[in-house]
Amino acid sequence: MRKNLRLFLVFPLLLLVLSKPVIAQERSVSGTVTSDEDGLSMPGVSVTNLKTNIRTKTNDAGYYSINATTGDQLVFTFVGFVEKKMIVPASGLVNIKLVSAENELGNVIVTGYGVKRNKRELAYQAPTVKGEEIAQTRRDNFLNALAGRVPGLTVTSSSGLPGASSQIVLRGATSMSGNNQPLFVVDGVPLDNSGLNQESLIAASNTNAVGFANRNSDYTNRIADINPEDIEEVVILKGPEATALYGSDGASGAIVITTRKGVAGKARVSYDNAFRVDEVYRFPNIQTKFARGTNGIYNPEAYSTTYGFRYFGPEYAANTPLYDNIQNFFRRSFSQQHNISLEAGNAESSYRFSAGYLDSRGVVANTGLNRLTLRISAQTKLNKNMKISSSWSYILSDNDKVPKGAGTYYNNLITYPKDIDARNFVNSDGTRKIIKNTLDFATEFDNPYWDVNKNSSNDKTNRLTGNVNFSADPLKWLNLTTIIGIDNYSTEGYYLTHPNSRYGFATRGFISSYVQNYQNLNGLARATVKKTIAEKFNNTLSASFYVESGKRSIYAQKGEQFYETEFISINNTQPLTQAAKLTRSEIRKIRMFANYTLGYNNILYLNFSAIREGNSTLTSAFFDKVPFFNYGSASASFVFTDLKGLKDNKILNYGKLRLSYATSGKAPYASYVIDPQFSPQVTTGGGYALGVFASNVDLRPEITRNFEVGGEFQFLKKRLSLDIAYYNLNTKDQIVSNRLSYGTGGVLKFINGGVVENKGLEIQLKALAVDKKNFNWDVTVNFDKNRSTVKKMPADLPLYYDSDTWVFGAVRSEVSVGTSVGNLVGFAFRRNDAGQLLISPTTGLPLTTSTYVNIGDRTPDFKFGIINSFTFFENLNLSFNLDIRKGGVVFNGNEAMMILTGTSKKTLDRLQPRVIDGVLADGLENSTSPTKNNITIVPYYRNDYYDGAFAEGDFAEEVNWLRMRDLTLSYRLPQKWVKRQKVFRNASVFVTGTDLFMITNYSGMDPNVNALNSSTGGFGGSGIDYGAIPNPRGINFGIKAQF
Amino acid sequence: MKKIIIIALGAMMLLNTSCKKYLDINDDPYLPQIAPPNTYLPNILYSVAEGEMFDGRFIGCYIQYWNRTAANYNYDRHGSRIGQGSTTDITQAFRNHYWVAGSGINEMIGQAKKSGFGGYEGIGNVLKSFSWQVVADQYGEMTFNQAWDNTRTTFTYDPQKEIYAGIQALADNAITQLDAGGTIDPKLASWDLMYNGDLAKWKKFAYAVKARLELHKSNKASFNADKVIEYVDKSFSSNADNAAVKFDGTDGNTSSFFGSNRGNYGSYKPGMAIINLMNGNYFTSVVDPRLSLMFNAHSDGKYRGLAPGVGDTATLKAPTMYGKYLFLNNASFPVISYPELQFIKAEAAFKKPNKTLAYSAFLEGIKAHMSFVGVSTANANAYLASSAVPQSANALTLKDILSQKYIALFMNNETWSDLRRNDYNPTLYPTYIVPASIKPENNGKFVQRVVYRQFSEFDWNIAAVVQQGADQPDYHTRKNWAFTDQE
Repeated sequence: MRKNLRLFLVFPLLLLVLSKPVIAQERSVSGTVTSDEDGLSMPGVSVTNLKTNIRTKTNDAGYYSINATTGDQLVFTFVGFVEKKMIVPASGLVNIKLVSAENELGNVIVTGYGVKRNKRELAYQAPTVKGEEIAQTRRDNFLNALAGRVPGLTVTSSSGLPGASSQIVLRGATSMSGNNQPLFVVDGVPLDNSGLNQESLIAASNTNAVGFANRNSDYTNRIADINPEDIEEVVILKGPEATALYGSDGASGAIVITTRKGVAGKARVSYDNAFRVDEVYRFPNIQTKFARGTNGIYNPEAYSTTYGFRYFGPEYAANTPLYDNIQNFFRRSFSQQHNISLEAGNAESSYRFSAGYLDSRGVVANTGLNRLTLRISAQTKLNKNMKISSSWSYILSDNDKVPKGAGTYYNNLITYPKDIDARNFVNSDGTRKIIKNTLDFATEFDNPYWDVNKNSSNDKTNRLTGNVNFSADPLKWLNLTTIIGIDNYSTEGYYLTHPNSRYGFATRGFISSYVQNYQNLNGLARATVKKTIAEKFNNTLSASFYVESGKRSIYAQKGEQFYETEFISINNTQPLTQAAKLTRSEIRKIRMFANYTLGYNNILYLNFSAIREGNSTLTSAFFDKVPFFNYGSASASFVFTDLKGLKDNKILNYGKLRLSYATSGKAPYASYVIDPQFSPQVTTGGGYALGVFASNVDLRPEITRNFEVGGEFQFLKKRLSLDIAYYNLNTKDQIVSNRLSYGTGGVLKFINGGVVENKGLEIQLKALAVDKKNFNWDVTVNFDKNRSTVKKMPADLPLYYDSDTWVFGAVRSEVSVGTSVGNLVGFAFRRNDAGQLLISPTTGLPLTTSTYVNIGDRTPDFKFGIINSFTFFENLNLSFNLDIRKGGVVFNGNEAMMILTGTSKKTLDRLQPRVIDGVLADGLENSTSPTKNNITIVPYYRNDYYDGAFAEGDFAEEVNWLRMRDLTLSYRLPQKWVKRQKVFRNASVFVTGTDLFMITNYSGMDPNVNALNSSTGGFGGSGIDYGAIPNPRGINFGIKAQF
Repeated sequence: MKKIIIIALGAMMLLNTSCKKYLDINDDPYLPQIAPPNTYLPNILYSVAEGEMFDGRFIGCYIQYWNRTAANYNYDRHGSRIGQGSTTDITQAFRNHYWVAGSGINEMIGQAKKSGFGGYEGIGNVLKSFSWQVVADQYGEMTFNQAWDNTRTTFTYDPQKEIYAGIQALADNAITQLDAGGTIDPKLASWDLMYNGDLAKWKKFAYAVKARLELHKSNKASFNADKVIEYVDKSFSSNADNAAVKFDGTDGNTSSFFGSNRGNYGSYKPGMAIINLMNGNYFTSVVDPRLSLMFNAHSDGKYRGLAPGVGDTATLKAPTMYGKYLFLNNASFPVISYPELQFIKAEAAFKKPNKTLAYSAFLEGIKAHMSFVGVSTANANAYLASSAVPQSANALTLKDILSQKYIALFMNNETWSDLRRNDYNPTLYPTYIVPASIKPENNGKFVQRVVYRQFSEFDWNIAAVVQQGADQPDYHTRKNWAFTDQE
């Protein structure tokens, strides 16, 4: 943050303020010159005293010393950097930070495919996050480090385990069923962020065994392959222009990542490491008073087939030994990471090589992530007019996982008998220990230790990404650019269920393995013409052609009936039970852009763009269908403080107003949905049958209209800056994969229709609150508020729901007219015409209906991110990121399960007699004098109370939280110490804590979890807390050094 | 300048065309978007049978072929899906009818026409008419005229009378198409797992459907017994003609829905109604020779069944159904059988009335089923000579016909149509047990129809559901048009 504020103008200004006139006196002025880009010292920088014309250069440590008199002007120059002038102060060191020419004004950011633009011109909010800030959180998945740092960005991780996927949404979910995640662009090239869609896997042959609906395992969202240490800067494009720049791919926004490049100068080696300890610190509150049983009678076999053992028996005998199975289960895990980089260069060429190794262990046994990232980037000037740059990454990732969701270790841990030590999970003959008196392993859920030790899964990914960027300026006013990008990965994974496991017993073991291959090749060609007319009119016209081909294939196999119970391989299965399935998708895209910017006197900028896009997902094998559609944008940016009369205002230093509007088309997100689709059959005789999707030859692109208005303001010598944006995003003709009446002949169908509106406000406030010599305090406050409303449903259907989200009872993600896209529904109780609860005259419990009611909107009312950075004596820095959320519903499925099984502490008052408030359904319920319920229930004797007294809506909690996301304390060794030796140029030590604490009204463990994984479209499974372990607390410590 | 514009425009158009070609790849190379007609047939057959077998878990409780091991089971008590059941109960035939089977048949016929093959259209329409018959008898009113109209998002329900006429027409078309023959796909024989491409047998299947439909109208003044007899005579002539769907039984996927590999019938045990009809309880001291071949005995050697709604307890000693008769992983499932047709003929002739004809068909029905089950001729003859079987045409009653049909159709949902057609008449079904606790929403009435599928109709076509009154808690007690005396 600091650097952003210390724009090259601000810094000297501040120094000018600090430098009070003193008596002139010749002395030796010295200091260190560092680069603004990475804070590294810069050797070879020319330092000239303009008064005396004495000249010197900085040494290898970036240190210089020159004779000057107070008040003299020094100028610092270096190729590729903006020259900097400085008045010599009366005393003290003169440390200089040079700004790379590319980052001139600190205001140049990368927006379109490698296009750098001055922020002044931008007519939309484009917040940036420095790579350093992300890296210092030491998180495996850098998306989790973005939370709170940018207004309008929401990150939900699936669980607190290594390799867990994270879902990221900018502004709000606009699509009811499609992908709402932004596009990721790294060095001008799009990179894939998908996980694995489990629907491509083959379920077990027995319906009581393993099925795949994106619930029982998590798959890393692949953008997490990026090593945070390689990130220079992240620009978040949320508004209309994201689509103008990236076409339909940017319809949900774009996250534009620039990686670190080599900097001119002598070869430099940097090394850093971090050692982390993670631990779970929030545990489910389970009761330890009542034993297994029914209606107060002891029964060690009291069991719910959906949730496990039930605790409605008598109190444990006074001397019963009880075990804290939950505490025992989680481990304190130890992780480490090491990063090394080498860079060097001269004025013409530079390169950077980096290697990162991560060994992350999870708080659950047998979970972990090993990741090796190698990256090399190089750039060179071929001649005066031609530049070429290229970067390549190779990533090797190995993720050990355990099952997830209903019926797996976390839920089973909660319902595991407290009077039995869960650590004894294997019989002496190696079989699974079960508590119930049965030989049928399918009648009891797995012991949690058994589950994580015997039901393993793993994903191994090899990924190669790279780009070549060629740029030529054949004429002064013409630039030609070509970018070629490649993204290629292969993931090999399996999911295994042991023959003795609950879900493996029916099939005598089950293994599903797959290979997912992804390949994306893309290319961009762009011609840009720049012409200034009458000195004040800057015209920039560019025409680009973009082409992309993305292929994905998933080779899935399954086998059952293991020969050897412990051996992990498809070869260990009975051949007749083996099956194979191949899923493939290929999508090609073509975009032709024309962009025009008219700038007037650096004050007013008008941008126009027109795009014609073609997408293969719109074509048909049987019909002639036009794959093209057109859209465009118009925007204006007005720096009004540069107008005469407003210029040089003491309070308002900078002011810009922005206005933009864009339309965007979006083709179907899935391939092969226009024509009928068949799927191979595994039933007797095989053959094909129509897939679940009915064909739709009339499918059209969906249209988004995006409007944004806002402004940027800087006050008080630019120490305070404010960025406000209001937006309205309207999507019509939404492409929804909707279920329909089977009368269509299919189950689902991609249809057009429906209108979703997203409105919101985003504010970013940055302040240099204290700027003293020995103490700096930077603060950034991010605020956002988004409302999404479904205005019209596709084909006026009553509702749309996502069946994957159906993980607990009847609760599911469902939208209808007037609801938010994050709406949840569940079953309700019956009520009379007056709205009173109807009570059954026989049971005294409420009467249920199978009618769905809205139980809450998962969208928060608003969010705050507060980032503070304190610097003491230049060397010591403390920064932290507070994440505050107000409102938004989280469904506490864990608690609902704990009530049903009698493990919740809320069931401790079960001896208390009670009468449920309501009226009896005795025929008089709608008369003028309904009978008030008078049936007393003592739940201890009637545990059906806990089955019937709560509606699903009772577990939908309106959640607020304050979360300490990341806290870093770092200390840079003082220069004078460093100077005494020759090995290090720079060294610092740090301590970073992640998710240190959370203050929340949520009664569960962690409201920021996802019951599914990030592959689910629409709003997904975020805000459904069921079976996912909370985010653990982590402490990192490590060193950073430069050689 | 003009030239440049023209060149630019020309280039643009060229680019457009070549781009379009580049983009025209939306055709999955690893999965067909069209497939040869023969490849659809196995799964169509499977789906037609699976719908019946899946729904049989619940309808079988109505029939009392089996009852649930847990007490107070919704379907033992003549409840409906919306009363207390789970959302997918008794809706599989509906699902398969419109989706995999129906759409598959449409595709198969379409592709066969393109390839110029005969036979497929006839086969497709036979299967479609059969599937319509099954679902129309379950639901009464359904989407018929608008069915498979992919451009619609809402659908209206047509009266059952119209659907019945439509089914007859479909079956008639099928017969004409089968007669027409045409070029026969050489692959048909090996992919047709029911009749190995024998079109004459498919024609018999069409007549079997027609016979069933015609019999269903037995309560109407317009009931035509001669037509029923005519259709039966044109239909199956032995068990070899049975419309049986095969199961390989090598793993769960290829096993019969009734097989232990699938695990669908673990919570059901034989109904007391069928056991009492066979174990000498009702036919005093005549033990049906089929009993030991169709059911398991408890370890004490006794055959027992559960009464509806009572549930199973250890003291009841009711055995499982797996491992016997059709409850085998590789047992074929006859959706319509030769014995059934003989009982259809017997009933029609009985009502004509032509007792002699009725009696001979009745005896043929029993014998054919005995042979289907695997009873030795000697044992079969002994049974036929026993007091369980009337010994002369004059002694034959409707109860005899329906009781024997009840046994012979064990596991077929058609028996539910018989029960409803005959109003669950205790004199015709003497072992049928009136559940002690019929669901309160039934207001004392027996179940008459199925409530529409949640995921299809209640969720996405609710207007038609409401218009039909199917959202009412007692909707399932409303009689189907087919089984009333309404014309």
